[in-house]
Parts: sequence; C-alpha cells; structure tokens
Amino acid sequence: MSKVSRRIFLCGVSAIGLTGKWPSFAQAKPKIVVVGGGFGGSSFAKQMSTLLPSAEITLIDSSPTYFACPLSNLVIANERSLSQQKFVRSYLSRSKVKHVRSVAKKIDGQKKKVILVDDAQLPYDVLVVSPGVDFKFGVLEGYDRTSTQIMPHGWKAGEQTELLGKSLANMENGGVIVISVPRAPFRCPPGPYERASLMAHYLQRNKPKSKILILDSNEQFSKQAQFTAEWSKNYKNIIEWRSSSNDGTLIRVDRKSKTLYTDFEVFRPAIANVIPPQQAGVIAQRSGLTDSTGWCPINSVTFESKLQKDVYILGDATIASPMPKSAYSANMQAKVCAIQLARKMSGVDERATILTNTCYSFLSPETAISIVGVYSNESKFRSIRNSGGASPVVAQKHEREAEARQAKSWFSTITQEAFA
Amino acid sequence: MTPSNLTVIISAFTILVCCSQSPSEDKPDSYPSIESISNVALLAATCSGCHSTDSVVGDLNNLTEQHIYSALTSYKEDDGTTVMHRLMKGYETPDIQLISEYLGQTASIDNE
Repeated sequence: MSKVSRRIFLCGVSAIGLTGKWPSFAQAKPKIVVVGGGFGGSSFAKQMSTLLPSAEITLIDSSPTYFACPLSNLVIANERSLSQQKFVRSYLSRSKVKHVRSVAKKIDGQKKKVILVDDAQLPYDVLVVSPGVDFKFGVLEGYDRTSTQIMPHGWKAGEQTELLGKSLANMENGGVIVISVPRAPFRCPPGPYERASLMAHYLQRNKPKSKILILDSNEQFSKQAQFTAEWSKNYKNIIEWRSSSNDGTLIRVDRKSKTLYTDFEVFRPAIANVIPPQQAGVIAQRSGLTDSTGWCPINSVTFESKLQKDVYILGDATIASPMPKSAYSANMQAKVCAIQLARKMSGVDERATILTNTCYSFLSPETAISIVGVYSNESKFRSIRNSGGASPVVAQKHEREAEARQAKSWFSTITQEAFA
Repeated sequence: MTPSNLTVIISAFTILVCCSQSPSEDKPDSYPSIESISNVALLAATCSGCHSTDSVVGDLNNLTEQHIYSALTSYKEDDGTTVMHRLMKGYETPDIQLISEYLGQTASIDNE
C-alpha cells in the first residue's frame, strides 16, 4: 500500500474507530424512501444504493422520465431540442432501487409512512424528500392554474418549455415579450436574465422589431453587472429591465385578455412569460415540513428537517441560503446527505464540510458566464470569505465561449451522475 | 487494488468490529467502505459534478496526487478568473492536500 492511500485510510479509520457498535438499524436493511426523482432525489437514490447496497431504497416519482431545466432556455430560443433535456433514470435497472410510479399525497411522520395518491402506504426508516418547487396560486391576483397555459412560465421543463418556445416562434415581428420575475427566493436565480438574453439573440435574427421587458419584483439580480454589460453591448435597445422600485412589480394579471398590471402601468404583450411566485413542493406543504416562508428548514450538516425527525430534505425546497436553488446545489446536497446518512448508519458522527455551487448562464448560444459559491455548512450555511463569485464583467470572447463549452460539458456530466 | 491493500483494509475492519462495544454483532454484508464515508469523501463530493471521463474540464482519473495538488494550489494562489480559480479560494491547504491524496489514490488503484 502506498504512503498516500494509507494516510487517507487511517484518516477514515480514526473517524470511525471511536464509535460503538454497528447500529441495529443497518442490519435490518433500512427502508429508505425518496420522494421526487429530480436532480436531488435521483442523485441521492443512486448514490445511496452504491454506498449502502443492503438498504431497501424506493424512489417515488410519477414519471419514467425527467425533463431537466438547465439549458432549457436554449430550447425556448430554438437552439436546442427538448429531447436533449429528457432523461431516463437508467441506473434503476442495474441497482436495487425500486421505482414506484406514483405521487406521494402525504407523509405520516408519527407512523413513518408515505401515503400515495391511491392510498397505498410505504413505510420508511428514513425518508428523503426532494420535491422541487411549486407555484403559489392566488398570491398574484388573477393568476391561477389555467393562466399557465395562456401565460406560460417555462419554469418547469417539458410541456411548458415547448409552449413558450412555440409562442416565441409564432410571435409577429414587432411583438413585445414581458418576462415577470417573482420575489426571491425562486428556482434558478439567474434564469430569467439568461432567458431574456437568449430570446434577444433570437429576436435580433428573426424578429428585429420586437422587444423584451423584464418586470422584476426585486431590486437586483444574479450576475447583474455581467448581464447588463452584455445587454448594452450586444442587445442594445432590445431588453429593458425594471426593478421593483421602478414600478417593476407585477401585481395583477387578467388571463382572458392576457393583460399585466403593475402599480402604475398596464401591459398587453404578445407573450406574457409570467414566472410565478414559488414555494417548496406541495408534499412538503401538506406534510408540515415548511415554515411560514413556504420553504423547508433543515439541519445544514445532515439535511434532516427541523420539523420532522428522520425526514431529510434536498434541493430547491430547502432553506439553504446562500446556496441557491439550482441543479448543482441539489446534486451536491444529495451526495453530502447520502454520505452523512451512511455515516450515521455506520455509527459515525455527522461532520460539517465544504459544499459548492456552480451555475452557468448563456448570453448567446455560443457564449456564457458563470457564478460559483463555496459554502461551509457548520451550524448554518455560509459563504466562505474571499471565495466564489461570477465571471469577470469584461472578458474576451474566447473566455465566454470557453464557459459555454464548460456549461454544456457540466450539463452532460451532472445529468449522467444524477440519472445514468 | 493490490492484495496487500485489501489485507490492511480487512484487518482494519476486523479491529474496528472487535473493538466495538458489542463484539457479537457482525458487520452487515454490504457495508459502506470506510473511504466512501470518510471526511475527505465529503470534501471531494463536489468534484464529480463537473469532472467525468468525457468532460471538457478534464477527467480526474489517472492523475497523480502531486499533479492534482499543484493544480489545485495554483488555482488557489493565482489571480485567474476561471470557475476553478474562484472555487479553490474557499479551500485551505490541508483540505487541498486531503483531496489530492484521495483523488490521486483512485488513480493509483486503477493503475495497479
């Protein structure tokens, strides 16, 4: 054995050696149920099945396939096909993870059971909930479920992506697009601005008389300096951004006439891309896993719910700020949570660590920028000082092109890790 | 992995189980390996989000510990602006050392 591997190995032993017996928990083949098969849930199930092959792992998700959100703005701008966003969880066929194609209706934390829509019950020792986001209907006046067909959000990939892409393709030259951004926090913080950039790129070439107005319920946004520099340089007079204090907050919609209202103005755009206010996935709301914010408070080291024992929560649904609600974060959290659970089941103490996030945003189909974060999760999530940050505001074209290649490579790698 | 590696690992497991408070309990059949749940496994969990065999940012397999250590250290110390430059600013040298040993080790096992 080399010097190197022995050192690592001893490091591991010293961590384990102090603790007691193998917990009876592990010997009984723990029942681990995972609700939601997106980046968080699917990454977790796959990782856990490798770490602890004796566990009985069940993944609950209604669909045999998953449509990934990252890069889906390229689909809307007609630069990528929706089929490239579609993934089958192919590890299911080689692992012992059982896929239950259903929807979890409620969690009974007392009896430790998940109740499905058909009232079937799945008992668990450990439950992992990764439900993503759901939209808050009724908060924005006039905005209901039907509105999503008339004013597509495109904030869950699949049918909505297609709908918004078709609206763009069918729009007349000269039509105005309004993208409305809800108050933070929401899934994919730089997403609305990447979308505006890619739509502008499309308009420039196909509908040069058209314009984009971003109505923002916030005062600032992710990678703002980088996006705005790009807009004034390459999409001059196409994109207008209005902050909340500049009458940017959308306060009412009328879906019948496709009309949008701010405090002082009324808009009747050709495309109303209303990105609705968001909260943790509905199963978390129904099962007492959310607090008054609508999101799930968790232990930052283990990801265990602060409101329900033996329930762990991953991804967009969690309160993990400053970690953003991103695919990278969900996958990162899933890997860390799986290792922590495997440690617990091996009688090893939990351990704080360093987590990261990387988010790429396209400025055009060939250029991109990125933002990264490095976080400690000791007692709470916090950014590590003097680390992370976004791509330079001023950069050479080849640097932006390199980041676009990295973005596509990242997508391919992370979707393989999560689903293949 | 060489047979001698395996022997050391197995004996360590034996020591571990024998030292436990309840020696009658056997280790379950399919238990996580010590390395897979070690502190450094947590630290290095992020890498596979971007690095894979066919990624443009490079495959971490078959790199030596020294290679990884000097690359990560340069990212930490240089004032470049790539994703890795920005990420490595958040890691201390001992963490970089551990990660390099861990990932470099994987390469040595593959080669043996």
